[in-house]
Amino acid sequence: MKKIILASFFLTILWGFAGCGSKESGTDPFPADLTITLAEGNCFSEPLEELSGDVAYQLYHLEDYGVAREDLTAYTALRSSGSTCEEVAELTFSSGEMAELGQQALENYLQTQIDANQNYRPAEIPKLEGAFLLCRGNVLVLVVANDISAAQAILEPYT
Amino acid sequence: MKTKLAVLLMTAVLLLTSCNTSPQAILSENDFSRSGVSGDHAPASSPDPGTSRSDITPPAFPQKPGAKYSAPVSPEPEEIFYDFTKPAPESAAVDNAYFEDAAFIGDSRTDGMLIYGGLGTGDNLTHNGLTIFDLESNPCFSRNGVKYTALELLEQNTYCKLYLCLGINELGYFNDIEFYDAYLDAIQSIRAVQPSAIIYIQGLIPLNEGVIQATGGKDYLTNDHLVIYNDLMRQAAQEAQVVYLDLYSSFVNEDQELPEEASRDGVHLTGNYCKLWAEYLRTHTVDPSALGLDQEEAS
Repeated sequence: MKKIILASFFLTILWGFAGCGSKESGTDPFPADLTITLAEGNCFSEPLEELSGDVAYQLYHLEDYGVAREDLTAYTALRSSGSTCEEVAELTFSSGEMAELGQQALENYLQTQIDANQNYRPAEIPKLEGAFLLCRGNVLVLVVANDISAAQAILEPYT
Repeated sequence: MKTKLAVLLMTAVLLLTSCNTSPQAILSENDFSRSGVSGDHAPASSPDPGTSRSDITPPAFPQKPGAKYSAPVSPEPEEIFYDFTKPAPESAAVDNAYFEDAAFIGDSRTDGMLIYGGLGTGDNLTHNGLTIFDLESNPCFSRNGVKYTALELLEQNTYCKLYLCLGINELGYFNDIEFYDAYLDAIQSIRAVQPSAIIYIQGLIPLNEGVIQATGGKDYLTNDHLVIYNDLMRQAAQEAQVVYLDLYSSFVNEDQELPEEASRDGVHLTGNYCKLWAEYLRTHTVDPSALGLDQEEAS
């Protein structure tokens, strides 16, 4: 019986270190200035506009995926106001479980963006298809860059 | 003799009294006939005799069955008065709660206004590239995996305000009569599913053609054609008796175009200008009673 309990304990620890859900609320595996580094790193073709947390919450349809507004505990979201599909967002959730739900929401958001721009702005599709969506612990990072390789260079330590 | 004189005097007084009341009776009859309601079914209360007949605008637009506009919605004629020949005048600013029961139908420009304008509420029924021709035919809206047209989504809720802003993507469609007819059809269809809502037609915000060219935008995006469309939209609003919002005049500069700093591609507004758009909406609202709309019943 003890062996089973110990095995379960170690399995839980191991699972906790793997991917989304690995960190407890409040820890940030990405550098605090990652979005600024990306914004200033020639990744985007235009200055991006800042979004409020409420707008980001609505825009990414987090509620539809079971994430309450209070589960989005911190955010930085910069986005084109319509000229392009470029954007960068770092979203911190109350738990790894919430971050996983947020990841599903953002995956759907990216697909919706691809569908909505396929005929409207086909030049934006490679940016959306080359988007980075990284999840570490309770933090999600989304990057839709103009210069994908420049973004890749900055994000490489985390991919 | 005195008795006969008294009777004659009383008869004269009675006759004079009845003469004074007859104009009101004529006005009432005319009002009811204009509204398509026979005298047998006329409301008990008479219209205000102080309102001239020219103040009362008849619903000239063809109505779909069930539309509330076709009925004499208010017994007080002055309450259904609104000057549809002019854009909505500036009004006292409302707060964002005003837009809680509003829906915004539009293209990517309206989407930008909803994201960056700061209203923070209202249903977003926008889609990139949406046109006035798409409202009933293009199932481009996805909800829980099901595709809907804009009109089908409208049918699912009750709104008190509907903001419509479409026309930019149609600038490459060189058939102005069809554009005009499509706007009239759209208004009629929207009114049929949302009979109590105030329908606001938003005139198109100008473009910056220099920025459009510099950023590789479409060459059919011109202010010359946009001005023609705005005029058609204003006429459609007047014809259909809905509110027209003259956003163009608030955004055009001395060169008759959108200021260069207002957009990075000459079409979509930057965040600050989206806030100006939202502020325009807050300060150009119309009381539903002025349009003869009974929103208490709807809510």
